[in-house]
Amino acid sequence: MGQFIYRSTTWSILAILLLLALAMNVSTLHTSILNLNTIFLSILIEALPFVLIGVLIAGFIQIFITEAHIQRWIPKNKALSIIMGCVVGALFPACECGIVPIVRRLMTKGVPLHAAMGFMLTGPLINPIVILSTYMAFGNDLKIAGLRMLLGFCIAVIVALMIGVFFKGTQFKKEPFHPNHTHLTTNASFFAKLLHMLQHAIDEFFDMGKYLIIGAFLAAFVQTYISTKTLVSIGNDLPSSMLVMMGLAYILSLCSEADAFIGASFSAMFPSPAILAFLIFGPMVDLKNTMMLLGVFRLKFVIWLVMLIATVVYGSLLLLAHGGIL
Amino acid sequence: MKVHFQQVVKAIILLAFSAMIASLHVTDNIQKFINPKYEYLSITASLLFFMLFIVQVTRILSFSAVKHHHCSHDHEIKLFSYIIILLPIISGFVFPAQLMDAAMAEKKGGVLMLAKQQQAKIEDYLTTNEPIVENIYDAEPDPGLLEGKQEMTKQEYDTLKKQLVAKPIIQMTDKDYTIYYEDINNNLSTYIGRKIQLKGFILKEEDFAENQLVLSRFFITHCIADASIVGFLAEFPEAISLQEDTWLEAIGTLAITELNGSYLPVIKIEEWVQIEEPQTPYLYPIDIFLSP
Repeated sequence: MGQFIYRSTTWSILAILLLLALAMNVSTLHTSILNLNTIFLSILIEALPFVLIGVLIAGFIQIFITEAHIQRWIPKNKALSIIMGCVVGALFPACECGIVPIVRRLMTKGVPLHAAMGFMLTGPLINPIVILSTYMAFGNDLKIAGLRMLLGFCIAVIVALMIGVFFKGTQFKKEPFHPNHTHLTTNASFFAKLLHMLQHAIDEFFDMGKYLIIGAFLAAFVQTYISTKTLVSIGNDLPSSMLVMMGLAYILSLCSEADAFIGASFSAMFPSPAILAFLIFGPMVDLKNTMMLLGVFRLKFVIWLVMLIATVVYGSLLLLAHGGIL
Repeated sequence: MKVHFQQVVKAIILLAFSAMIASLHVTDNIQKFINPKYEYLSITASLLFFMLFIVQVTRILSFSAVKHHHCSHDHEIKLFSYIIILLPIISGFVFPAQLMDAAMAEKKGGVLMLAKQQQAKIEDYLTTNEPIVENIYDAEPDPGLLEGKQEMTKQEYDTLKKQLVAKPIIQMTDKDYTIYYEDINNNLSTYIGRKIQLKGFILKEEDFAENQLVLSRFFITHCIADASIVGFLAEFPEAISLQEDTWLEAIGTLAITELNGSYLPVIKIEEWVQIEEPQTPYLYPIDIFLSP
C-alpha cells in the first residue's frame, strides 16, 4: 500500500508539472521550476546530515543493542513506558527526519508502539537548539519557548496514551529486513560489528531515502505554488487561525530547529495559541515526515496518527485559550 | 566470485551524493541553499556519504556461494526507488541554483509579513503625536537585540551602538540589518524622523499606491525553505517606473503609515540608485556574545 502511495504520488507530481507546463508560458514555468528545484534541494541538503546521523544511530541500535537490553530498560507498565519514551525523546537531540529510522529500529528491538511514539513526538520538539531558537525568535521571551516545551510534552504523553489504547502490535506495513539479527554472534570482533553497523546504516538510508525525497519534493512544491497569503486570509478568529497555522506547519515541513522565526513572523497576525499550535504541531508531524512514516507504518495507522496529533494539539490549545490560560 | 549489481548501484549513488554536495561547496553554490553558518553540517554529510561509499564497496564482491537476501525483492519496485533517489542528484548537477525573487516573496506572504509592530506602542505614539523621547542607547543593551547567530563580540556590538548614536544616518549593512530591523519595528516611535540608508530588491503589491514599493530582503535561519521576508515600505515618485526584483540602494527618512489597517514604518526616499544584485543577497541571524 505504501509502495502504491509513493508511486502514485510521484506520477501525479509529474502529471501536475506537465499540466502546469501546458497552462503557463514557458519562461514563467522555467523560473518556477528552478525555484522548486532549489527549495527541494535546500530542504534535502538541510535534512541529509540529520538523516545520515539517524540511520547511523539506527545501525548502532541494530548491532549493539539487544532485545534483552530493551526488556530490562522499558517499564512493563504502559503509562510508565510512555512517560519514559517521552522523557528519553526530550533528552535526545533529534529532528523529525532523522527520528523515523531510529523509531523503527527501536521497535524491532522490542520497544512497544506507544513508548516509541512518545519518543518520536518529543524528540524533535524538545531539545536545547529548539528552546534556544524559540527563545530568540520571540524577542528573548521565555514564555513562548517554555509553553512550547511544556504543552508539547503533555500533548505527546496524551497522544501516546491514546495510541496505547487504540493500537496493538507494531503497525509496521512489513517486517523490516533482518528483524532478528542472528548471523553476528555476541563475541564477534568490534570491527566486524562496526562494519555491520555501517552496512545496516546504508540499507536503512536506501530504505528511507526515497520517502524523504518525495516528502521534500512535496513540501517544495507547496512552497513554490501555494501562496501563504491565501492561507493566511482564511484565518480571522481563534479557531480558524489555529487551523491555518497548523496547516502551514504541516505543509511547510520546516526543520524544528528553524521554524521559530517563521512562527514569530506570524505573531502580529494571529493570537498566541495559533502560534503555539504551529510550533507544537510542526515538529511532531509534517508532510515530509508523513511520507517517511508511510515508508515504515501501515497507511491506516499513519492517517490515524496524524489525525490524533492534530486533534489533541487543536483541542487542548483551544480549551486552554478558552479557559483564559493562554 | 560474484559481482552484486544492486550493491554496485548503491555504491554509485552514495558516491554521487557525496560528489554533488562537495561540488556545491567547491562552486560556492551552497550559499544559495543554506545559511553558510551550517556549511560544516553539509560537509559532514558529504564525508559521511563518502565513508558509506567505501563501506559499500566492500559488499560488491562476494566469494562464497551464499545468495544475497536483497536479490529476492521485486526488481521493478527497486528500480523505481533508485530512480527517485537519483532525482535530487541529477537535478542538483543539471539545474542551476536559483536565487529567490519577488515571486517567491509573494508566496511567502509578501508585505503582510512586514506588519509586525507592537500595536500598543504605536497607538501611544499616535495619541501623543510626538516622538517618545527616550535615550535607549544609554541603557544596558536591549536583550531584544541579541538575536540570532553569526558572530559579534561585545566590543563590536558596543562600537556599533556608539556609531548608531553618533551617525546621522542609520546604515543597514548586511551585518547590522537584522539588529536594527528588530529594534526599529519594536520601538518605531523613537526612530521616526531619523535618516536611514539601506538596500533591497523591489516588491510590489496590488493595493500599493503608485509611489509605493517595498525594499525587501530574505532572512534565512537554516535553509532557504525557512526564508522569511524583511524590509521597509518606501515612498518616492519614481517608484511607479521601477520593476519588481530590481535592486536599489536608498536613503530616506523614517515615518509611519497605515496599510490595510495595520501601522508600519515607511521610508520617504530622498536619494536612490539602482544597483547590481549583491553577491550575498540573503540575510542571516546574528549572534552577539555579551561576555567579553
